[in-house]
Amino acid sequence: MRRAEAHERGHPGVGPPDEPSDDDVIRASLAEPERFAPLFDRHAVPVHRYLARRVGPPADDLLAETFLVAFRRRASYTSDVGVRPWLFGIATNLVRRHVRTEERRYRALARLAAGESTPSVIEDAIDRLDAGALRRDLALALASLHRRDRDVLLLTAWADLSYEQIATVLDIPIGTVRSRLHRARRLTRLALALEEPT
Amino acid sequence: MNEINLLRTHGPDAPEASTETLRLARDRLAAEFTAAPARRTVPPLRRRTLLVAAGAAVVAGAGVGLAVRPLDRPVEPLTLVAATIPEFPLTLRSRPATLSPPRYSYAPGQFLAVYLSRSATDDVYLSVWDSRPARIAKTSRPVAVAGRPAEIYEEPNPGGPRRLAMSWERRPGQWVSLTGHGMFADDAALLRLAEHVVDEPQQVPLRVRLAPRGWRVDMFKDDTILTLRGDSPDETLTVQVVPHRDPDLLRNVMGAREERRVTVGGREAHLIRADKIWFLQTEVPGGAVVNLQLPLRLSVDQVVAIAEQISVTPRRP
Repeated sequence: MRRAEAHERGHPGVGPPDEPSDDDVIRASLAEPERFAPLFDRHAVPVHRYLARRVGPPADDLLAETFLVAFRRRASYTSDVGVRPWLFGIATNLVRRHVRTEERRYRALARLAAGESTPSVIEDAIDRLDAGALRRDLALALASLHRRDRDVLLLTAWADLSYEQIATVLDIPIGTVRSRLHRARRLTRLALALEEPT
Repeated sequence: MNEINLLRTHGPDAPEASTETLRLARDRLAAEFTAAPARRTVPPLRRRTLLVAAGAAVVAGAGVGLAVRPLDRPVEPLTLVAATIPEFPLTLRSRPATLSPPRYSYAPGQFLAVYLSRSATDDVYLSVWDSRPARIAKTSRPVAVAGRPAEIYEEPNPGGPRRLAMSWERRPGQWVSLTGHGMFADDAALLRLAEHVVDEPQQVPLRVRLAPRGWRVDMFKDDTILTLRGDSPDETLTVQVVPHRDPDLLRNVMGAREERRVTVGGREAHLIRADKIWFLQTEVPGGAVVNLQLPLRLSVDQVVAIAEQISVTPRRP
């Protein structure tokens, strides 16, 4: 197992033997705050990517805020969810203050995708048009979703969180996770004109 | 391909974080480390976890310490001497009625008094530093406190009320910062508070008057946890005030091996021998319950002697 994967799982004791696990790092940081720093090095890049895909440039500030919030709340961290999902949960809660920015971004991306230039080779042009239309429709679908449904959908798609992890980090019942995800997926399929799974 | 996979492959994307972005974010986080004691009280339900975590840190440290100690070098017995607990050097001569009495936290180089508000949104922090405090804000505006140059800057407080801080060098080698939240996050309010900062040393409520020779206060947090350290990583004394007695220490203390009853100041107390530490839970005069953790190098008599010198001053209303 690669180092990053080991930490992604977030289970105590999982990871290279010469490095403390994420849970060990959090425990040690309660007495020695600077011991928290390795968590930033391990998780900042994927957390930033998740934020940037959602809100664009404000992700730079939100990345710092995510880790500041995590650091301040580290005493209430519980090891059953794992550090990376916990960080994605914090990041998701911070994104809520930027809902309009996020939706504006998706609409702008949809306009960009719709206006992509067509290349000269016919087959390639068709492929690109398809891809551009797909990007446009996806962006518009995301913009049209309810914020809470979008959180669950993107924690699934971009953060790879399970139902249980999403329920924990968003502090909602697992049944709610299922229903929100079901609704978000159905609306996205409708926007993409995909057939319902049988 | 379903919509989840399509979102992954064709959904909105963004460039990777630049080195500069990562560096700035990391710097902001590092600046927060020095202000760590500014946290509000740890919720009671989490205290046992925190305690066990502190124990784990001690255990981990002990492992490192033993690993580097030459095996043929005998471990010298520890001698107990009077311990010195730092006093907070300042006070707010006139405390606003909306603020509770201060709770103290300490780390080498920084001493913090937290005045919690009854509204939970208008807290005030008074910090004393040995050197100029690091600040997160990129910009500040100059003001004057008692004729000395000071600066006011806004600090980010995600999810919380507005936070404004003011710092100045009160005298050579003594930097003071006042941080106001909510109604105190205002230039005029901070300047008014600064007028009431006077030299008046304050005893911290959680104290221990006996410790192994050479061990110094490493930190205390929120009048609840006090840690002294010696020279090696396994030399740690931790006292923690807990809400109530734990009826099953043998099960809840990490690495517990055996439990015995001892007497501390005439009261029955419970002493656990764990893998690497002594863990003692006792009631101190005034009724507070404390947990004491010490390395196994100390004898049972020494553990009890230290426990008898722990005091917790009841919090003023």
